[in-house]
Amino acid sequence: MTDPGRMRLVFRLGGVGFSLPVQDLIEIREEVADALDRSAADPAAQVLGALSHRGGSIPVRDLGRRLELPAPFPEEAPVLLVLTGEDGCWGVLVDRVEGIFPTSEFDTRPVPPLLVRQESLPYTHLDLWRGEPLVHCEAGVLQRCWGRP
Amino acid sequence: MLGAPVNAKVALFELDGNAFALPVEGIQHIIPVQKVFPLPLLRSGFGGVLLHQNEVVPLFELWRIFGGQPPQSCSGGRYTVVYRTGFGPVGLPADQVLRIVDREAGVVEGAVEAETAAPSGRVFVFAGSSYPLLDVEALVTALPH
Repeated sequence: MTDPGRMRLVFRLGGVGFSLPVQDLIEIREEVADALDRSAADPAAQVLGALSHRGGSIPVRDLGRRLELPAPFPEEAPVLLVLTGEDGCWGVLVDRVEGIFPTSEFDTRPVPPLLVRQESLPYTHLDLWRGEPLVHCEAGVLQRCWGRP
Repeated sequence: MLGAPVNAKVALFELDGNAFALPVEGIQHIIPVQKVFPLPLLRSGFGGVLLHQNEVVPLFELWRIFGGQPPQSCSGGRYTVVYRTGFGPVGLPADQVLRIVDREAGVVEGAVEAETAAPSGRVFVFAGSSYPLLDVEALVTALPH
C-alpha cells in the first residue's frame, strides 16, 4: 500500500497549479455550490460561507481572492478541498483536482528571491512537476494567510 | 561601458517596435519563447516564470519600461533573453534579435529626455540609431516590493 506521507495532491485555481501533502487533505467534495451556506460569508475575512461537514460546520475560505487570482469561469463547477487546520478543519474551493502523485515526481525549489515581495509570500517554495512549476503548499501555512481567528 | 571587458559586444533587440540594447557578457541564452507560468502575488514588474534548463526564471515585464500596453500573450515576444544578474537569471522578452555588434562600433552616451526610455540613463548609438542600454540589475533592483 502506498504511504500517504509520500504523496502530494495537485490542484488548480485561477490558472495556477498547486501541490499539497496528502496528509493535509481530509476530503475532496464535488458539486458543493448548492451546499455552501453563503449566509455565513464574510467578504472582509475572505470567507465564502460555511459547509456542513461530519456533523459540524466548517468555514470555506476564498483562497483565490487571498492570492489575488483571476476569478473562475462561472460555468466551472468548483471542487471543495477539506483541509486539516490548527483550529479545526476548513475548506477551499478550487477549479480542478489533477490527482495524487508520489513525492518522487516533485522537485522542490525555493521561490527565486527576485519574486518575493516585501511582505512575505504565503509560499516559499515551488514544486517542479511534469515540466511546470506548482506552488508548494501546506495547509497550516495556507491557513496562516488569514491570521488567527 | 565602464568595466566592460576588451572586445565587449552589445546585442540589439526589438520588442513591440521598441529597440533596446544589452551588454552581451550578461546574456546567458537567447531562446525561442517559452511557456510562461503565472504565480500568485508576484513582485510587481514580473509577469510569471518560465523553466529553462530545469531552473525557474522570472520573466520581466519589459513593456512597462517602454510605457506601452501589456502584450496579448504572457510571453510578450518571440524570444526570451535569459540574462544573468547578481540576484539570479531574469527573462527578458524580445520580438527580434537585430544584431550583435562590437562595443567599439558604437558609442555609449547619456540619454536625453526626448529619447525613448533609457532607465540606465544611457543609450548605445550605432549606425545613426540610438538604442536604450538596459542595466538589468538596476531595473530589477528598482522594482517596488
